[in-house]
Amino acid sequence: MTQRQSMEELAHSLPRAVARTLLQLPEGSVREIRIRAGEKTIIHTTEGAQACGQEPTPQQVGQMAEALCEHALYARVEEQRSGFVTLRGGHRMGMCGRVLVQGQSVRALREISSLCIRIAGQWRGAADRLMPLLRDDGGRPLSTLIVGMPGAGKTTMLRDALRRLSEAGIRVGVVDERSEIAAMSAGEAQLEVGPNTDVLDGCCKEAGLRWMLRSMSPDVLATDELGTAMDVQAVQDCIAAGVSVLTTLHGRAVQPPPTRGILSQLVLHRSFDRYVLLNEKQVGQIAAVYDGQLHPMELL
Amino acid sequence: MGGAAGALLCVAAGLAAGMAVRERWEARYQLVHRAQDMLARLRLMLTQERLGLCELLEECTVGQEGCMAQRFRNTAALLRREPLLALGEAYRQAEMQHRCPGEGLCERTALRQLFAELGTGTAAMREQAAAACLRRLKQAAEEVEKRRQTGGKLCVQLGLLAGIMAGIMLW
Repeated sequence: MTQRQSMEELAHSLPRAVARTLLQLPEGSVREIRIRAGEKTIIHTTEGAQACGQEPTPQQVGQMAEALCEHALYARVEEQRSGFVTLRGGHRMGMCGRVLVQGQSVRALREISSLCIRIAGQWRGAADRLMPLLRDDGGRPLSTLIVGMPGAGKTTMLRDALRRLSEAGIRVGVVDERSEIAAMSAGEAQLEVGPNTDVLDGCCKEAGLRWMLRSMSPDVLATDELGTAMDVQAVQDCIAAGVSVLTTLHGRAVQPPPTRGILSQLVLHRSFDRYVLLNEKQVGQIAAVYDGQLHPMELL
Repeated sequence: MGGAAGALLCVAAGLAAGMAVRERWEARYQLVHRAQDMLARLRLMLTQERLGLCELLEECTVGQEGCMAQRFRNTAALLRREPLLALGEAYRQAEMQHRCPGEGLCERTALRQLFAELGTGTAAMREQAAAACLRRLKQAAEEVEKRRQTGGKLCVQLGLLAGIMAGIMLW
């Protein structure tokens, strides 16, 4: 699926005025669409923000959320609980509204009042500068952690890196818990992940990594956004089993090593061979690369 | 001679009218049963499969023929074409396009209500809406079955009797 087709599909579920504006924008320039009840829709592009369309009512925002999810929002309660769902094409739709809480856990989201659609990018070449550092002298892929703030381009970088490895003949296994890496639809990847890539779609990272390890004999395993101690454990188990892991994590800095959180645990155990820090301000730009001992490395 | 022909014509007309009424009951009976089959499948898939409404409506009509299945498919097609349309509204439009012969007020109301509720709420709420509609259709099916067995025969007999009487008067 090309970016154009993906945008056309997205535009189909949006009000006509917004759809028209969206489709007039240059291909690949859209970064984010923000819809709020009572406010004009704002499309963020590489060139800046653009307001368009009418001010939707809360009910219309809810209808848009339903339409964007192909009227299957009801079936995606688990995803809603974490605040967002993945749309066809790999785009991420964050939602706000009234949260129904049961005890300490989120039960459901009602009266959806705002949506934030982050456009999944297929930017070939995003990982070009990184590739020489991702393999050792013998050509073996190295375990790599990509760290960055939300929207910094972690998933895009990860996708491009695994595509390049896959094209080089390395067997890649992807555990795509939120369908954001490959955007699988009816058994086919909507985003390019390479010819030697197997995708386990919709499976949680912990179970998925073990599954792939047992069943697909991968050289590299890739997954997105480590979030829990169980994810970290599964990743460490895979690395200990001799398989390289490519993954991402929310974070602002690698050096000095953080003292709290998942990243500190990974750094402490020297789990990865490479740590890639993305630039906070420029999407998809690498700020620094560190080796397993957290020594800075030079990019070509 | 003319009187005899007229009498025979009246008998035939009476019989035809009676049979037409019986046919209508039969059509309604078939319609309600098909709707029940589709909804039972829809209810199951609501809880078991992770499908969007369009796919759900299409899936529950697989292997089903007739006007109601066509209406469900058309609702899905309308929703695909106009994703911002409410499901209830899409069903209304499909209903206008596919008038089902024999459809009674009871099943019409039940299905409209179902489609108004099927587009919102959690999976459990939607499943409940399908279950409530199925209950109403079951009642309608029982009523139609009763009428089909007794009323259908009666209509034919009454039609025949009216025809004979008209024939005698013409003779």
